[in-house]
Amino acid sequence: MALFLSTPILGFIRSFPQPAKSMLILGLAIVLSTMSMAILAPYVAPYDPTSRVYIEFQPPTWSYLMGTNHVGMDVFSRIVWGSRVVLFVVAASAAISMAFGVPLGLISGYYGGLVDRVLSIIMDSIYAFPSLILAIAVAAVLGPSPLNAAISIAIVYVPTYYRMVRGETLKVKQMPFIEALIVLGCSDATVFKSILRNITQTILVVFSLSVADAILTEAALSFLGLSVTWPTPDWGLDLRSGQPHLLNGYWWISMCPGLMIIALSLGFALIGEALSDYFSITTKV
Amino acid sequence: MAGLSRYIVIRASLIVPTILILYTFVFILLRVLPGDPILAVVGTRYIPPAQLEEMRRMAGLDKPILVQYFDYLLGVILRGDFGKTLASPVGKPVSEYLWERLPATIELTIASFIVASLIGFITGVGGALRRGSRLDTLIRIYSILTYTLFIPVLGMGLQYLLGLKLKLFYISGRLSPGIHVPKVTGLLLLDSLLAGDLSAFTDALRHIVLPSLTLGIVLSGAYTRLIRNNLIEVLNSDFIRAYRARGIPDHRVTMYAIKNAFIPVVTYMGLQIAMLLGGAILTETTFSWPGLGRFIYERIEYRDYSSIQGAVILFAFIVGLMNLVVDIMYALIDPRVKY
Amino acid sequence: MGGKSLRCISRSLIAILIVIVVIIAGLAAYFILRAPAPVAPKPIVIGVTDKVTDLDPSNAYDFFTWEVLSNIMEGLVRYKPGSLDLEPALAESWSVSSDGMTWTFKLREGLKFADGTPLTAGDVVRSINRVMAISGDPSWLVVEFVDKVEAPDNYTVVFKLKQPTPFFLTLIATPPYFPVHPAYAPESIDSDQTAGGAGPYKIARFQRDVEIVLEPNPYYYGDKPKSSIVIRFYADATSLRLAIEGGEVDIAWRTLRPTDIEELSKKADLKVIEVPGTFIRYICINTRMPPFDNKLVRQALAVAINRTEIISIALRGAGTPLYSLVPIGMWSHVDAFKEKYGDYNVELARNLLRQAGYSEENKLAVELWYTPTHYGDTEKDIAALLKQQWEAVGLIEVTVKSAEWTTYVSYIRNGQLPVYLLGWYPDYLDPDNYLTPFLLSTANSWAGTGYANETVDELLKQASSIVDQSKRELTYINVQRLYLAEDVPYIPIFQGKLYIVIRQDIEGVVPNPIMLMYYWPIYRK
Repeated sequence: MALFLSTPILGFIRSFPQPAKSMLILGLAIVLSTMSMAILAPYVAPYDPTSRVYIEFQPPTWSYLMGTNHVGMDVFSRIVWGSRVVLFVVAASAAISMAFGVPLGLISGYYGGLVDRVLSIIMDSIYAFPSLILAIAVAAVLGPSPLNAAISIAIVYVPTYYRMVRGETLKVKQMPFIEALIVLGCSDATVFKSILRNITQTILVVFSLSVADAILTEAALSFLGLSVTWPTPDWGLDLRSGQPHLLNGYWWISMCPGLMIIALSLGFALIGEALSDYFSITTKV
Repeated sequence: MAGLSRYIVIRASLIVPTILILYTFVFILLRVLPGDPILAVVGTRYIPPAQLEEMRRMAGLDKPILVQYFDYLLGVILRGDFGKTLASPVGKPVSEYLWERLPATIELTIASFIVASLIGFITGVGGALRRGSRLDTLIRIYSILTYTLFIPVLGMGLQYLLGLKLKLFYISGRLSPGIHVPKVTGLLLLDSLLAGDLSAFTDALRHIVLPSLTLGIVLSGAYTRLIRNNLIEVLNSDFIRAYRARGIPDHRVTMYAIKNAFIPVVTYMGLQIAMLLGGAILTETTFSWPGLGRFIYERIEYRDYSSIQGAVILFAFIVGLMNLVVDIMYALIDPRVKY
Repeated sequence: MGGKSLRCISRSLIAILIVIVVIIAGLAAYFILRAPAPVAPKPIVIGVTDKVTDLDPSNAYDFFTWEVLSNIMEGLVRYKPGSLDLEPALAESWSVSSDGMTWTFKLREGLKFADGTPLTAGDVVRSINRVMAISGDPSWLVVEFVDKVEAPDNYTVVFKLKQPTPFFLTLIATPPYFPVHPAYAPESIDSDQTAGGAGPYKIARFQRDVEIVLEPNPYYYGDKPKSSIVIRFYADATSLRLAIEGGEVDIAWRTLRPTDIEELSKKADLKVIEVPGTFIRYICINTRMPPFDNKLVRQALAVAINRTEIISIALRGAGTPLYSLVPIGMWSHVDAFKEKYGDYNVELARNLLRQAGYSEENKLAVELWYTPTHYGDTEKDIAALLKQQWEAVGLIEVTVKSAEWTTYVSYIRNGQLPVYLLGWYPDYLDPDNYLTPFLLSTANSWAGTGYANETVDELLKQASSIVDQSKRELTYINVQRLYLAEDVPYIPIFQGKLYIVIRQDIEGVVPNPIMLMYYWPIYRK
């Protein structure tokens, strides 16, 4: 069954030109291994991430792969469990952003008029506002928690989806087959579905790239203390708590979670780049 | 030209609703947050309720919400009065802080912009001219990698290597305590040169290198990609082919292509400055850089309504201004924009 | 043909750019490496990460600003360096009426402000009335106790109090009672005013958040300071640490991290002085919120904490286990909790919880709150260790939560939090300040614990008004033993220690139990 499914997928991947193919494979490898780490956390993590299991400041060894932090918790276990929070927040915020951004973009692009102008101004204001400060403000009001962090990140990225969908809708709207559908008297919903099918590629690319960005925003929020609460493991939080110890030479406490953040974000970005290459969507001015 | 002035006026007037929306949003947000500036300062101390009331009254917090809303807004618009700080220290004009913090952010932004542009330009042009080669692939990977570099990680890494181990640069702040630079523009590098104080200049330079390097590297990836993609497109375009067909020497053609590819990129970079202003907050936090982003973040803790509202309005205004400038440049350069 | 020229162009282009970059880098390197090494300035330089908030005693209410004020101004009395005893300062003598409600102070003659303006009793009265009128943060230290203050002549100040206050002297020693220069705005907070008072130093320059330069006050009546002082404000603990390591500052004070202190103590050119602190850290329990209204639950929580572990791991040793709200070293202190329950006792905790009806199937659910930055970044570690310790009992499940300071305080005042960590820095040094604000039902609403016991109220009110110290001591001891340790609305954890790191050639730094540093005895060998 798995083989049956994988062949078309493998074929799809193989059809990519280089260097996009390598980027796609590398990106998928990173993302999938992180996801499996998150799902299998209880089996992969050797210790309880929130308890003191050994002496503090232990450098990486075979039994403590990434050493221990300043209170004696195993850094590797914290990384493994921390992946759950990151993926949850990012997935939730992407879902929320798309749920609002895509339909609003469609409506705006298709109907135009006053609705379009009002929505555009609102979206532009949100877009212009420094995203991090906006996320901080919302998270501060709602209180620190992964769900609230997801909500605040979602708000920040709605304009991204909105703008892109609206732009593409405007383009696609002119195309003859859409006009044909309208002339034939198809309902708005049908037209929307048709437009959507045509912009799926762009949505996919924007999705990967904004997820890569959302990972950094989530890390920023938890770095600033607005996501999970200690001692829940989270990469951004661990990065922050390890910062003062960097000076004393205990680099693994902050650098391990730090590098994981970059790696995961890189994974999604590579996928996005590869896809954009494949669909010949280039970012241009 | 009447069309252009009308265009400018229309675009300029869009700044107003943007500022209004943001101000209202922040105003509501602040009032929804638990606590107020008095509570932030009093904390867990025993203060008799009568005194608490008095302190609230002195801060103007007893007036009805709508009155507070319009009082502040009109104060800024009509008198340029951004109010007084409500917490620690109390009673200082907010504008003093704003004029102090804004140049810090601007200086960091400009320095990072220079770094990002230099790196972006070199790598973007190099990649486009050598398209498809190993170098190009490396450059493309570089552009993606920088996109995903988390600022605190890069910042801390640089702090550790260049600041602590090699002791070349300072890891936080703008200036070593004890060094004085008479304030002319607020941009330390400029002011120290104007005052002829070379050691102050060096000191300020050693402070700004690490943060601008961090922010610059992270942003350069986007520029690399932009320049590379644009240059590739231009190099493949018809009029370049026409030039080649006419027998114009290659190096002249390439220079011409670069010029053409670069102009729209510059305007886009101009737009980026506005984003840089906002994105600097992580850099400001990692390097304890006393800029506007960090100011807002600090003041949120104090619930200092006046400071936060003032900073947000100022910020929205500057962003709006930058967008306006970029829009005008677009209008002038891109014939597709109608005005 | 095309390919070759392209390569030529790109090569020359890149070559030009590389040359530009190299030139810039070379210039930069020249400037940087040419920078002269920082020469140790002659005044003594103190580095801090705390900030000065308001240079106005009518509103300043944080420790570091109080320290600066205590050096540029002086009160009628002050603490002897290194001790908790009070000695005459601006006042040379004083007396109390028999009913304890009238205090009379005699000022020294020839007192002058830093610019030569004479200081008389009228200035004292003016300053105190000013504090009462402005209603700033710390004004309650005056308003709660003083009814009227008068100056019958140039050298006499008379305080009429609202009720007998045996610890009034400790209040007089606090900055809100310091006489200020007439230049201070009479009706409003003057945050940046540098005119100061009549202390050993005057402000030569003040650049907010950058530095303060203090020079000896030529008109000071007492021993002249041995050196000028420069206070520099650093952005964070790491920069301060680098500054003291690199010789940029002579003294690093407030506030280095415990791990930094550990490392610095190993350096040969630095010495670390330990200052016994008077600040305490404790857990608050909301006695009105079930299941914490059950005394057995609170007692169990108190017994199940391992103070030694918390101090050694979370604080790297920068604290002393505390078994009462009254700190060690203050009269009337008793180790109330230890006397009653012993130290760390998991079995006892289990028994108490079983008595309260909890079991392995029915665990006690505790929400433990802390605030991540206000007390430093060790808070989260204390919370994590407490969670581990309480869960080791086997009958408790802990969820750790946090809120940023203002939100935290707001929740606490509204009585919304069940179990939470707080700290207390004393306003004045008397056991009254460690017990009344916590246990007196009309004064402890800020703490959100809802503790109200009529007997305790009576005892505390009595103790704060009788003059006989031994009687007061007995009352306070009873309150600690019979009520605090029994009812457990608060669980004291530790008493803090502060550290001063100084260069080997600096002398005269005396650790003061009041945690304010006097600068005037400091000198360089």
